[in-house]
Amino acid sequence: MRMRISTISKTKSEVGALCAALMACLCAGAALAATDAPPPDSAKALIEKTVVQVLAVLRDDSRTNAQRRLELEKIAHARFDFRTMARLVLARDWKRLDAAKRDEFVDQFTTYLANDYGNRLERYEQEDVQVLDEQPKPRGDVEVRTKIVGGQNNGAIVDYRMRKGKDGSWHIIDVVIEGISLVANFRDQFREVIAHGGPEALLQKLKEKNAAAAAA
Amino acid sequence: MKASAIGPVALACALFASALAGAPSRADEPAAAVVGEGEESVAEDAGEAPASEERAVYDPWMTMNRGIFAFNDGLDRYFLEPVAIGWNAVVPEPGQRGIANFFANAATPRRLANDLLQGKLGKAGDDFGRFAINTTFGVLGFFDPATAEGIAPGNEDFGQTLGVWGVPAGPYLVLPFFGPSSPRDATGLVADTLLSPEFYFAPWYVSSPVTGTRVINARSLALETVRAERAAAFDLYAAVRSAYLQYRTNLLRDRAAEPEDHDEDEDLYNLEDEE
Repeated sequence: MRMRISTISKTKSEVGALCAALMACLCAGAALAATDAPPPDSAKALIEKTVVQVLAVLRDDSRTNAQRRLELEKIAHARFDFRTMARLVLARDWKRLDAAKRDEFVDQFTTYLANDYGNRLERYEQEDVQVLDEQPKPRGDVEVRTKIVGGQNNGAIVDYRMRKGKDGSWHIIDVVIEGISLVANFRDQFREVIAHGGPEALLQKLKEKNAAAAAA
Repeated sequence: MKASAIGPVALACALFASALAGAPSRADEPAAAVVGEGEESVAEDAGEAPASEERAVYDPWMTMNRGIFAFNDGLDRYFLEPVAIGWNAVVPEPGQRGIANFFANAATPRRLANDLLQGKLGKAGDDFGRFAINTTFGVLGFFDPATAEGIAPGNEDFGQTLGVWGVPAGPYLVLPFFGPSSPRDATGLVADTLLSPEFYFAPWYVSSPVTGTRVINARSLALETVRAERAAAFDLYAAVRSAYLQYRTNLLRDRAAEPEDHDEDEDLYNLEDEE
């Protein structure tokens, strides 16, 4: 698994394919690497690749936490479709915002997630992740199932809900941990604020929280 | 963002619940997501959205629940957490895990009873095997060789048993000391206590310190998680409620067994097209 770290080619260009093929020849784990080289990655292959990337960053002791955080944010931006996540979280309230406010909401929500998860990094304790399988879902979505191995959450099931973009590449639109959906959890948290002050009030409150986090 | 970063979200919420509760995390389940509160159920212009009402949370007792939640939270901050920090300083983590294993193993007969009450013979066999292996080779349950052998720990409880029997969960309910629950899960909590042999044999001056140890140990293992969750949640009450209801729904559904029945949740992923 680990040797594929350098197979990060996220483009489906021939160059990427070539590199991957080269890698495949070079490493002992040739069989593994060759499977996800050429065309756009399948959802499962993408998750596998991401797991390798993320674990490599987390295990690299030469980096500071701040550096790791930056690296992970980069990976997250490549893999997650934050705009779709934000829309799903707002559901029908999305329409109540104008275009500018929508963009702003996506930004603020993304920042909020980044702060939230960034703060948990120190807690990494050498868990490993097994990518188990993928299941088709309605609307052409796919759910990739993974399992955490080791650590306190040993055996926990984490599902990645993925959707295919217009360019044919997959992005994560939800993370479901032991049956608990991130999107649903935020939707449930935002519901009351929206019920009382509309999506604008929510946006305002998110900004305040983010500003407070930035100041801290 | 994988495991480490994201994992905690939900697990944390679930832990938060059971840690506060101290209870072996009993209760409930499911279908709790039905009624909306303060939600105009508009199907609106939206394209494909079938007239399904928005998935929502059934929490008509929210005012009372929030009050009890605040009480539990205070109890935790000013009593349980400080004690757990002390425990954490004295007992090394492997020791804490061993103790947690011990209690989990001791709870296996009760779980086995629930397996049987639900007619899940396969799970009953697993739990029986786990109990036999961990009690012997695992030195009274302090170690967990059964998991290493590939026998996954069970999670059945009487709240789920009631769910399997068709009893609805009822509204979301926060219990003092025990945390997130529902009328069905609260009933299950009582029943599970009655299903525990130690309830009949251990006098209070034995069972109380034992229970205290279990709770403090569990809380100690969750220190970081709860801290992160407290700091991160946009609305902690709503976050815990959402996590609890989803978690219980998922348990009752025995997720792994029937992956294709998530349809009631599909509304969650419906993007009403435009933009």
